[in-house]
Amino acid sequence: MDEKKCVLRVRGLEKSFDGEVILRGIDLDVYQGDVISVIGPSGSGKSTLIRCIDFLEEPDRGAVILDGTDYADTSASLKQLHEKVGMVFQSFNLFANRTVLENCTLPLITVRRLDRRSAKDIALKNLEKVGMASFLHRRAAELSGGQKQRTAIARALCMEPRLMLFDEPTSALDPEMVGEVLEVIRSLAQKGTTMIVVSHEMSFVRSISTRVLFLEKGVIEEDAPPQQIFTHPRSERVREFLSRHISP
Amino acid sequence: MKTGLKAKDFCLFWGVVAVLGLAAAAWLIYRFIRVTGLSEIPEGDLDAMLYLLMSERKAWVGGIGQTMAASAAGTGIGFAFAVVLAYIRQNEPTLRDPGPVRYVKYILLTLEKLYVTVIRGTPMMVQACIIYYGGFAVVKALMPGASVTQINQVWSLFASALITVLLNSAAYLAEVLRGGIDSVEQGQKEAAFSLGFTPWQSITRVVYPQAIRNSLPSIVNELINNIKGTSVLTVIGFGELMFATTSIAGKTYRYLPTYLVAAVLYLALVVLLSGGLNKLVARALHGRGPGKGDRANG
Repeated sequence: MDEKKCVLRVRGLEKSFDGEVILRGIDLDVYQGDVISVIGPSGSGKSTLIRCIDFLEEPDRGAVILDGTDYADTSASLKQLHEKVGMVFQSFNLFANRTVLENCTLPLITVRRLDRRSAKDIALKNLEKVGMASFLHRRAAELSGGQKQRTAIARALCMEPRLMLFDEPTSALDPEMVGEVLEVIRSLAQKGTTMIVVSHEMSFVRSISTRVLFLEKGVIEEDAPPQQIFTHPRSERVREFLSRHISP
Repeated sequence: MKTGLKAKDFCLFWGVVAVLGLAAAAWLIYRFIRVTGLSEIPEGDLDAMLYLLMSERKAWVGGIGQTMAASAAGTGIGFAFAVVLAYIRQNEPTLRDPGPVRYVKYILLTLEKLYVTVIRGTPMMVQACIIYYGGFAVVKALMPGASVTQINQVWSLFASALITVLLNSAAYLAEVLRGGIDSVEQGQKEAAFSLGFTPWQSITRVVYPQAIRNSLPSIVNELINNIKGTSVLTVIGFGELMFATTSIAGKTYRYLPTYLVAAVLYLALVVLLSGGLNKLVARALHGRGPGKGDRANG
């Protein structure tokens, strides 16, 4: 891993809500091209971890370092972090009342100050990647869950992020829509997009990840390549969890 | 409209209403033509109403004009103020703000709450008096030796009236917008934030368009309330519809018919405007069909 560039460095990340400790000192290095899946029982802090990395939650303690800037330092500008990190939410969060195309162009025009035409070019390119190019003028409310999520992925990709975060991207979907979204994420992974994915889809995690983190009670219990974690986990807790989540 | 009536009864009911309505209208027109030819105000109250409606038409129209000007401009400008107030209200100080910004935000937030409390907690009639006489005193102090007429040229009744209405509307509409903003999903703000929008961009490009849409019916309601509400401005002598009414009543000594005409005029204004505006709002909220230009899977 030494030759690879470190994209993100997380050190001693801690977060609690109303006195309940969710994350207890997370250390994590993300290298370019890493596809890191975060698994673990519910309430283990998976979502909180990536929400803290994107500062949707302000961490209580610790460092989140991207390109030499520690964004946990409150004097750092989160705008810079957000231009480099893309986030995909469980509940899609497409801009309501706007079309598929506008969802992609609005951030480009507003945040990156592009003119309409170049914004549209970038949007088209990325909507093409997720198979949404034929729905440009549909409003968000008129889309299926899978289409919404694919649009949300395209919207994040438009900003050309260094790192993509996926917060349970298929958990709010009807079962028949899970596949189309996972396929999009898989193709991004294959193209070498650096990403952290929180997911419950174990076979998906196993097939796309370069690393799998098992999170339990706010600490990383195990951090290993998928073949290892799925076949010879070191931790008893991981073994137990996987035996419950993978049909034999 | 679901009335629970059978189709036959429904037709019968509205048929009778239509016949009676037409008869009443014809009778009113007949009385109106007869009455307007008279040289003095007739005895009967209804006849007097019809007579006064015609003979004092200039005063009525002038009053309606002033009422509409003060309420429409007041609501419009008040709305612009409300947008700013609502922004202050929801833009709470955060850890990320540099020290001074945090203090400024905190002070503005406190002032906003104080402002809304004071305006909503005092009658508009009292506010109108304070604004008019307060402004008068200020102008008087600035222009020593000026006559009342000269002062009124600078500090006009219309200015006081407009300011009263807009300060009120700003406070009420700020609360309306706050509700509209709260009704926008938290995820919308999170999405904008995670894409690098500044708080201002997130508010103006994502949250407000939705919040204002959600608040449209209440905004129309505020305008309607202002049309009736401006009647209290008669207390400072602003020449709106109520002031015109009182003047006519004082001139003709026919109080009841005059105030009845005023009631009919207010009702007509409110019904016509709310009908028209609610239709526009409904179109804005639901009138959007499927997007154009979908080639595949259309």
